[in-house]
Amino acid sequence: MTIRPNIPAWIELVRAGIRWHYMYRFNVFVGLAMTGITIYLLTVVWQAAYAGQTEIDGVSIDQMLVYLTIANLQLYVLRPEVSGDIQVRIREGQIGFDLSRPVGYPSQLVATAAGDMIGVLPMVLVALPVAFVVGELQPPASAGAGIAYAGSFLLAWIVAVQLNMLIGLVSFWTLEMTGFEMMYRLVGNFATGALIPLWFMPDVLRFAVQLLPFQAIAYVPVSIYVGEPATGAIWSALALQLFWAGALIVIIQWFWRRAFRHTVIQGG
Amino acid sequence: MIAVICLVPIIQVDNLVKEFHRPKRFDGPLGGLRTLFTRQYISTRAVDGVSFSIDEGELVGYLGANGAGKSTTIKMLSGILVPTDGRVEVNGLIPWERREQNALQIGVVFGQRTQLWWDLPLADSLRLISKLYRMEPARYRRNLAQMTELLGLEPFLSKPVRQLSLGQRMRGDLAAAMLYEPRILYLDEPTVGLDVVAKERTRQFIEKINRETGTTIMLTTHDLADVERLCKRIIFIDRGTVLYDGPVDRLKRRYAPYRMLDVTLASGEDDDLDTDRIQLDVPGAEIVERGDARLVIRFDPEVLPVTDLISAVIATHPVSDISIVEPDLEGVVREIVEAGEVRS
Repeated sequence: MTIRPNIPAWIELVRAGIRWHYMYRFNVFVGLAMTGITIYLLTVVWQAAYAGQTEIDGVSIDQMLVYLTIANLQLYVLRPEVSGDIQVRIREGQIGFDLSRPVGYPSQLVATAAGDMIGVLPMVLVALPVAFVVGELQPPASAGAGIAYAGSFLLAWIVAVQLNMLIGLVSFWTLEMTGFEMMYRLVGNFATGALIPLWFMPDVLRFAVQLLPFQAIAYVPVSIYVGEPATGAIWSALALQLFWAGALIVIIQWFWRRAFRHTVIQGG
Repeated sequence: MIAVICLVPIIQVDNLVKEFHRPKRFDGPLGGLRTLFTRQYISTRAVDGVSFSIDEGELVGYLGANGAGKSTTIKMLSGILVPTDGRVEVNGLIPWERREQNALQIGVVFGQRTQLWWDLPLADSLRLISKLYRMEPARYRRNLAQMTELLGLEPFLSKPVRQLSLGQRMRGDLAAAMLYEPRILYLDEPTVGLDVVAKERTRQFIEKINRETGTTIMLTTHDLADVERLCKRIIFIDRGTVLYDGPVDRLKRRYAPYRMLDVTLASGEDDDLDTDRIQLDVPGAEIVERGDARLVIRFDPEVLPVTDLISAVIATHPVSDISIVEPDLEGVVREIVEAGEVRS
């Protein structure tokens, strides 16, 4: 017997996620400041790299700056805290309560992360003028690109949450994982393509990054936005994201079953 | 009256084992490095072959010293830990295999922690729980009103959980565990850290829930007053195995078959009452303490009914007060834990 989906519970968890987001108001503003600084620095660096040329390898300086601005704005929204939440719950022994709910743990996490993401969306209204000042903003390359971007953004969110959850589930084995987490952030941030688009990576590096799911978080959607879809065409770029979203869901199902059997609940 | 006959116990535990593994630690130079790379593990058996069964509507005390394996058992029964070996069925379900269905039929309170959301007001936490447990809005409102009244939640329903006192938080936790009317309630130290008034309130609630709704309750506690007040049956475990499973009375009788009769003598016309000279010629009774106008008599109620003893005492001596002292469970438990076994 499979249990029927508990939609009211998910809605309630999403709402709780939104509220939790604003409990930590200070974090919201720190994140915004960091995003502004990143966009500003990248703009300066890439302007210097273009050294007055208007186009390199078919990518104009304007496209480049819009790409960087949108990519980093997007990362501001797609910064799931799932992994950190799992670690805290495990360390404090609270995980027992999460596991004793009649709603699967991964779906609780996804619902809360959705609330967290929805909670940050209104902040984009504040972030846009900041991005406009420090970077460069333009509308999507075409109406079609705009619509495709919306879908692509959603897929990017799914991939970002799943990846973050996968890392968090590792803490069912190793309780201490600050170092692992730092490595993940370093590799992950770079491989999303939010600092250097994949176009400009050396062949070997680009090949490696293309095998990883991280590109689906920033590079794929934002390249659609600026009219240079990652795989050459919009549909295949979306298909690539869809593949990763699906593959990660399957991996997490498998991984989660193993993690659960490994549960150790801290304290008496 | 409808007689409910339970053919199958609601909780059935057979040979339950839980082993925990951790990497072996090495001392000495480079010990840390060896620990890091070792493939050797030390395993400890927190639960080592526990079996028991509990019928619907029972209120059972699950006792044992710290680290005896009580909480580990409860966690396996609630489906959040997978045992190393053994079988558990809770109302026909294997908890860790049917975790989500099992969750709907059990309520859990861990006194050391809270299942409520720290940053949300208590009312919001309860609302979220009602959604998680698929409650109809009408049923939720009815049960919330009932819990609010029973546990006196009204004054702090709108306060964030982190601002509640321990007693208030515990009441919130009890409400959260019973809100969706589970058939089984696991209470793991529900009175820990509470003051006398809060303890009494918690006990009253547990008693009422068990009596009026027939909820099956498994209670873990270190406060034996909880057990004496609430449980007829106890399961006593030590180092992961069951030492005793049966009525509280029987255990007490086995350990402390004697009761004490505390007699205060009336001085009457005799100015000096010399208790040293008093002899009691009743078989099965013995004076164990003599004080100023006071005698403590030890007797075995199996051999000598208390009424016979009292009549015998009153017949020979002027008495102003008399009281019977029951043996307490605390002394019994202390003796069991120290000996590591139960006398047969």
